[in-house]
Amino acid sequence: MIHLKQLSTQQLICLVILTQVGAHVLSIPYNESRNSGNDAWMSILLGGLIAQVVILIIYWLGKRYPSQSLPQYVTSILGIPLGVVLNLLFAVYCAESSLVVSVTYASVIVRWLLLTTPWYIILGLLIAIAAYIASSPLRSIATVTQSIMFMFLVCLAIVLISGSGKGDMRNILPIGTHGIGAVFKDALPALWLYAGYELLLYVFPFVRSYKQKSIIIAMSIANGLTTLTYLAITFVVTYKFSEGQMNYISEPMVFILRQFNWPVVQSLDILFMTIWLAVIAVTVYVYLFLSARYLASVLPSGIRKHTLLVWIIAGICYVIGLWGDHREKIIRFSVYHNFATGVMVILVPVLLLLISFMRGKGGVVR
Amino acid sequence: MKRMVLCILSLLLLSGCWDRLPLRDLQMIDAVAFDRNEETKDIAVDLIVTSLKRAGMGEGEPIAEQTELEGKSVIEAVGKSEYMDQGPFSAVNTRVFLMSERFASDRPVKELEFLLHAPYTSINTPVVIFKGEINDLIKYKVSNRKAPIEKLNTFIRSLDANGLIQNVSMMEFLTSQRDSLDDYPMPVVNYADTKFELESAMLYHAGLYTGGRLTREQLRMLMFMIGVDQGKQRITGRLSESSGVQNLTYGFSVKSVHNRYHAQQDSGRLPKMTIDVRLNISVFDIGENIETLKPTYSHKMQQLLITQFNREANVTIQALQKANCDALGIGKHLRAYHPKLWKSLDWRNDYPNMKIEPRFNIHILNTDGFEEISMKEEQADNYAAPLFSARNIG
Repeated sequence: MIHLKQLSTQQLICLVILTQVGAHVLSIPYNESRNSGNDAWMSILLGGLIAQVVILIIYWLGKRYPSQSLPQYVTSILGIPLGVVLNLLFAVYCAESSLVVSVTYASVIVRWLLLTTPWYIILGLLIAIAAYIASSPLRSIATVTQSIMFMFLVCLAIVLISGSGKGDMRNILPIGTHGIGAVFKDALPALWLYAGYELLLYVFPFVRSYKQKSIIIAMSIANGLTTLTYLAITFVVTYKFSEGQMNYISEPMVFILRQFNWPVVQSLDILFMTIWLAVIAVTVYVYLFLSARYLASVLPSGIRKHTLLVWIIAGICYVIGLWGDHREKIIRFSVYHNFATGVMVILVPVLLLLISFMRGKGGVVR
Repeated sequence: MKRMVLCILSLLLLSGCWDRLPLRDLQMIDAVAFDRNEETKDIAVDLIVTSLKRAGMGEGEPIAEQTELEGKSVIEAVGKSEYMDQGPFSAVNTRVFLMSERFASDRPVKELEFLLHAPYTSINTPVVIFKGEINDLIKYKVSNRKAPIEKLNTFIRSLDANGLIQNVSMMEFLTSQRDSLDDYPMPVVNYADTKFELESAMLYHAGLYTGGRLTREQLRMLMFMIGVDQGKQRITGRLSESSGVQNLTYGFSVKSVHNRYHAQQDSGRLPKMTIDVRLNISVFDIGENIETLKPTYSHKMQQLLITQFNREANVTIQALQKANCDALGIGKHLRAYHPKLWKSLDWRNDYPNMKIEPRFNIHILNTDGFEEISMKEEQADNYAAPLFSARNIG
């Protein structure tokens, strides 16, 4: 069995947090401060609040079909032909997310850590490790993710430690001078940072809980902790760099880690990036897993073998990723990815919920 | 569980043998020095590599070697190292960046900007202006066989630790050009007769040399005004003759420094800034036996020190304003706490004309407290008496 109904709420929290955080922690709050400047933290917070609303929508949708996951109930909402197309689109979106995350982080490694190691080796190893884990049952994936949570906490501690010391609190002040419009404008790129909660569309029926409410509580805790993590990074960066400096440094966290001087560990950036690789792997393997599951739902029962599907998708991602060693391509591609995220993660669940309400279909309360 | 262990272990594979750096072949650069030829404008980059000889015996003998590279720009000069037998060099552990005064005065950030994005480059290393010959740094003293470059690293670290000056790291130096309010003093270190000495500080505004300098004494005042903890520093001096006291020397260590900026909008367009500095000090010389330092005497001395420090701080502020270098961070304060006022200012033109008043408040902590009551009475008398009150107007 690929998914036993044994995902605890703690495991759900770990899965959601580590799927949400990804390669962009190094660039926060560059994209989120283009208009709002030193008020970027407000945009980040607003992005988290909007993500929470989307989580609520996904939860309401899942609550109407508590014993089914999205690939199963989507056909009852949209009908079989449209349902199959949507499942296929979700499979492509998840594979694409997996590709974007692995290519983005492989680019970070090639630029800052392993300068001469070939691109195909770094990308290949990252995708292979992720595919190996993604081919496991959901419960095993959740257990591995729980272990990686420790590495995430170590990284968070490194961020906070490197953020201490020389800086200027006055960089954060004055608050709100850029206007509410600028904050809202930058909330959009901030919203993309939180993608990962759509995991609930699939795992909803597999969460072991006494009350359905505990699912939304777990999801809110996870999203809240991710928001706090992003806020902590934003404050550290704003404390270290003025608004003018932030405009010229697209990966501020890399520089803060490089700048930190500690006699015990010489290059904190190298340590951080190496450990963070494990956190990145979670996002990659969760999306690979989801892609394989969505794909399996549209394929005939004879070729639904999960492991095979995961390795096929991973292989395709790897082959496409071989062309991603140019940073400009990654940045250009991420624009399409953000658009796809907006449609698949926000728009589709909203529409599905509305159609579901209109059709009056609801599930039996567990 | 097996799978999980396998997965985590396989992450180690990403260490990558392509990027292996064998320790034996590494040429770790200890210090990098930049100079500019006055006539040709060519750049000279000196790389000082310290390696251990005979390290197999338990303790090694450090040997410093110098490699000079030349080019039209820093990056061109550095690129030449690839063709030399001494390389390849690694700047991952560089302990100090040195700039000659010529180099430091002529848009140094433009020349060094590439370092920010160069991987394996130590950008948290302090940058100092070096006055002297680079060759001298690798010459050994016969007595201890230690190259001066090793002493230089310790010296520069101690400057920051003792609050003599705030070191500017390479990253801070390079990113300062992107912040129009990032002004700071950069230490000028002299090397003569096998001794290092902090000579003065060159004043920078957004990565550009302003043409102004601060003396060591002015630098000390600046550190007080920006509230830098003076560490283990022992501050000594002599009261000026205008105080009315002849030949009185003082010596103290600072226990704590607190500063506060106040902006006051008078009738004029420009605000008046007041810098309140509270110094809690422990004296070891103040013209009288410390063992019997009575509150009355101590209070008088406090007032004399306040007058003197206010005067010296005023001179420092004038030097900063003349150089249009806001090392006190007044612009940052106004932007952060008085945004409306800030918007009405044309900062670079207004800053040199602003009225900035330092107000020192010095407290001697190691006074003999038995005269507590009488001290209060004395204080009241003193405020009434013209002798001190007239002099204490800062």
